[in-house]
Amino acid sequence: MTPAIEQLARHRPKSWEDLLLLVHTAHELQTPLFPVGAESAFFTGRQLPFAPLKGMLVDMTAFDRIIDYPAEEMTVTVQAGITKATLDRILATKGQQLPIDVADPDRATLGGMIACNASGPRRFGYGTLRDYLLGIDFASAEGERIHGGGRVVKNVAGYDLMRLQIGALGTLGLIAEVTLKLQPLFPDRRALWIANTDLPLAECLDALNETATRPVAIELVDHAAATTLELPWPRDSSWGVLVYFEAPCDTNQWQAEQLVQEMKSLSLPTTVIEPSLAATLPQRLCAWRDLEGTADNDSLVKVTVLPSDLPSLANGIKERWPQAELTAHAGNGIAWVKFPGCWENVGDDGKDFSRLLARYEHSRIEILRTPGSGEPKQFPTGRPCIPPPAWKMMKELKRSLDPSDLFNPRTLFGSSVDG
Amino acid sequence: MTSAAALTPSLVQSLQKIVGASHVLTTAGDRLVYECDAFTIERQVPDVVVLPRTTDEVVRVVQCCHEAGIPFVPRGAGTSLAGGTIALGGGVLITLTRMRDIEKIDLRNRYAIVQPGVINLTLTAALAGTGLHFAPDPSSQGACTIGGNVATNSGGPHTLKYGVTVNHVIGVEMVLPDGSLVQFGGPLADSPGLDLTGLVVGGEGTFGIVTRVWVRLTRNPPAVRTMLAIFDSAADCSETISAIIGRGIVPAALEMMDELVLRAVEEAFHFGFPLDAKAALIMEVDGLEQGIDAQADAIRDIALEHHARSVKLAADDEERMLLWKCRKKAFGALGRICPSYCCQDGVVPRSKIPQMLAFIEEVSQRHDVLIGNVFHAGDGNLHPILLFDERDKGQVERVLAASHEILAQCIALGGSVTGEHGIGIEKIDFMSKLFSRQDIAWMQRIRTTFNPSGRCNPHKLLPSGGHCVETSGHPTTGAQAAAPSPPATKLAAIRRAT
Repeated sequence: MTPAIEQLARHRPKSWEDLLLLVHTAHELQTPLFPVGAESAFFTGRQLPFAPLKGMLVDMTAFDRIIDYPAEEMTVTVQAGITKATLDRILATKGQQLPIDVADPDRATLGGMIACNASGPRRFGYGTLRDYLLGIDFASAEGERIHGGGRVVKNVAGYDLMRLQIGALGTLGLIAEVTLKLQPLFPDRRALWIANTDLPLAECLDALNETATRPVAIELVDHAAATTLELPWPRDSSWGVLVYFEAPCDTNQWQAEQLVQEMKSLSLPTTVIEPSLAATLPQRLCAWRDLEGTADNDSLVKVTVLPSDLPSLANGIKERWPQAELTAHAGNGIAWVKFPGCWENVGDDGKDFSRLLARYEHSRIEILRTPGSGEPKQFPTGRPCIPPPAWKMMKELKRSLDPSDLFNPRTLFGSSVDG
Repeated sequence: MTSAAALTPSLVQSLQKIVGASHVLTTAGDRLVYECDAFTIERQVPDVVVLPRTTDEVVRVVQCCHEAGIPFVPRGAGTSLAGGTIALGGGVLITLTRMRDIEKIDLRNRYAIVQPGVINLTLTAALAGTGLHFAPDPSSQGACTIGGNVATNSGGPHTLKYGVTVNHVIGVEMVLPDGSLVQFGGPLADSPGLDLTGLVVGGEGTFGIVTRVWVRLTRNPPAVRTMLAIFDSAADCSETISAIIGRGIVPAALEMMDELVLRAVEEAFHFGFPLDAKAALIMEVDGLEQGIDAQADAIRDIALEHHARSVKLAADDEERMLLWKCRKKAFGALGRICPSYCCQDGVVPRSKIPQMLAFIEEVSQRHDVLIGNVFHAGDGNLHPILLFDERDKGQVERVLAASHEILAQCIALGGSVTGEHGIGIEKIDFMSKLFSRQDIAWMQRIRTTFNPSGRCNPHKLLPSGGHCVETSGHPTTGAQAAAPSPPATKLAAIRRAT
């Protein structure tokens, strides 16, 4: 916990009554509120320095109950302070899962996951939280309980408050309870590791795009990241690609054999990852990409391009910055790159990187972390790269729904929604 | 909403200059075509109908309306079953059916860019042979537009496995009510900031007019097995549904048709449905060839455990397509029984389907209204179809009362009043039963942020305040649906207010 957080008063509401009274009081006193779970993603999206003159931490971890779990409906209504690991354990008893990967499921709370729009490798096959939230209850800036959606799997009544809150970084309300759609849990999980040697990376990924199998994850990994993840690295490999399957056992058996054959036709060695390692890979990839999984002196950026542009982007980065480390959701076009040192030192104050991205019709970069002087860790984000008309609309919504900037000020929207 | 101005000749001329005179409909006869959509109980002839061809034309038309202070309503093909495209209070109806270009198909990156007037099925047809399709497949897909799908967050039979429209829309371009243009999302994953794409989908055209949509394309499943189970009792059929889901099987589709519907579709399409059957269940699984037969067998066994008289696998694609034709055109087939229908769209937890069907039967008898059921059983999304003759005032009243009871029961069983058709006008009175005053006020703040004057598609989705019961005028029949109990329409009150 950083000193700035320690200085804030911490409140841990145990009921809706507690929560609404807290928010209402904060509203009356014009005191900002900073919702926290385990603080594993506390600095996501925050402008630096984080040194609020006043404010209260709202610890939501007491909101950790299952409200309703009709397993035969494949839905669950749960309080948002529950950890992912606890939820996973409960759902597994019924052979079900919420297929969203996080770096640290023992700490990550559902509310934090929703606020940050957490996702991991299996988003390729399963989608993201956007596809699983059926209903939501949160505290508004005025200290009222607001409800959106419902508990059934199909419902278009009213505006989609669930999607409005997903990824809003806790700036529009304090999430307390959600209803989720679930998926079957397949005990059989297999990971195959493809060593890309002589074949151009684009050909390998194009082939995977057309595979007769149906992977739930396709992950691009470089040598340095593979070492961290304890993945084998055959000599002469330029890239490694991890392909992940979740399905009934006999289907997975077929998929593994089929993929080996497909890659064999391209002369790409493919090995089956040992099951106990395979089971942990989605989480470990998330951890690699997490702020807390990044070394103190490293920068971390997230770059998004179209999947078809990822091979040339990845090769371009490694060519220009051989010391960079890179992993990517190959099926979604999202890459994470770690650079030693400050972002400002990455080639002409970042302009080299911008020149690289200028090759692509569609691209986006988000600087998630760069070390600075003073505090040991700095996480500048600035305003995310959103086109002005859309940004204007977002700010107006923030002004309308949280006029006092009560929730997480200087996060996403900057100070006094002027960012 | 601030008071609306009246349509003036100079405004009409301005509109004609923007889109061309032939695309501005002013005669009574032309405008009458647009007096209602598929929700025929409410009707209101718009003051003028405009058919733009490009985003720029939409921008300029909306700017005109904004400057003139006149309300406007977006419309696609008019297949809304909730009155979402009726020009309540008059104003300009902006019909987007001329904006029907598929602007881009990117097969490698699995997305397409389409104009809002593209017909849903046209998009999938354009993808034939590519190995991809657009997953949302409402039964009206041969007529409904992508823009309309976006507005109502449309579903269809295959949403059980593939999700609804919002799961397949990654960006929208929209003309805001002040005429400014904005884009939310796009072809790149993880748009930063607020998910306004997700908010706009299902917004029922109350935030602005969508002029471009980025849609995600889905790989075709390598294998499909479609089965038809015949039951001698609707209860057995509906219990099969919850048993399948309860065992952790997620089929591609589970669609139920009851006796009344079966007779109508058999007469229309001659599939071979047994006319003494009480219910039929279309059960479809898809995925890899490896393992699909095991899944199909498991579902078949569940149906037989629940006393299915027979379970037959569609022999070939032709039989499969005919079976789906029967399902998707069932509404139209019911036209053989009665001249009008009102289709409800309630949702209940799947385990409550048997209870709900029994309730619908009881309502049917008590109100003396013929009701057929054809619906997305796997989602719990019911479509009771209330049959009537709209020329008979008494029947209209009974249909409204029966509809109200059915939707109220859906809420009582923990469900919702709309799974895919939207609130529109039809179900506005139920919003206060689903949401608190604070919830609705919060939603209103969202709407006001996009639509400060309230002139973009007014009187839809959110109650405008107060819960008074008004009577509705019914221009074509002269019937007055005096509604001592909800859902009464607000048409008369709106007319008074405007």
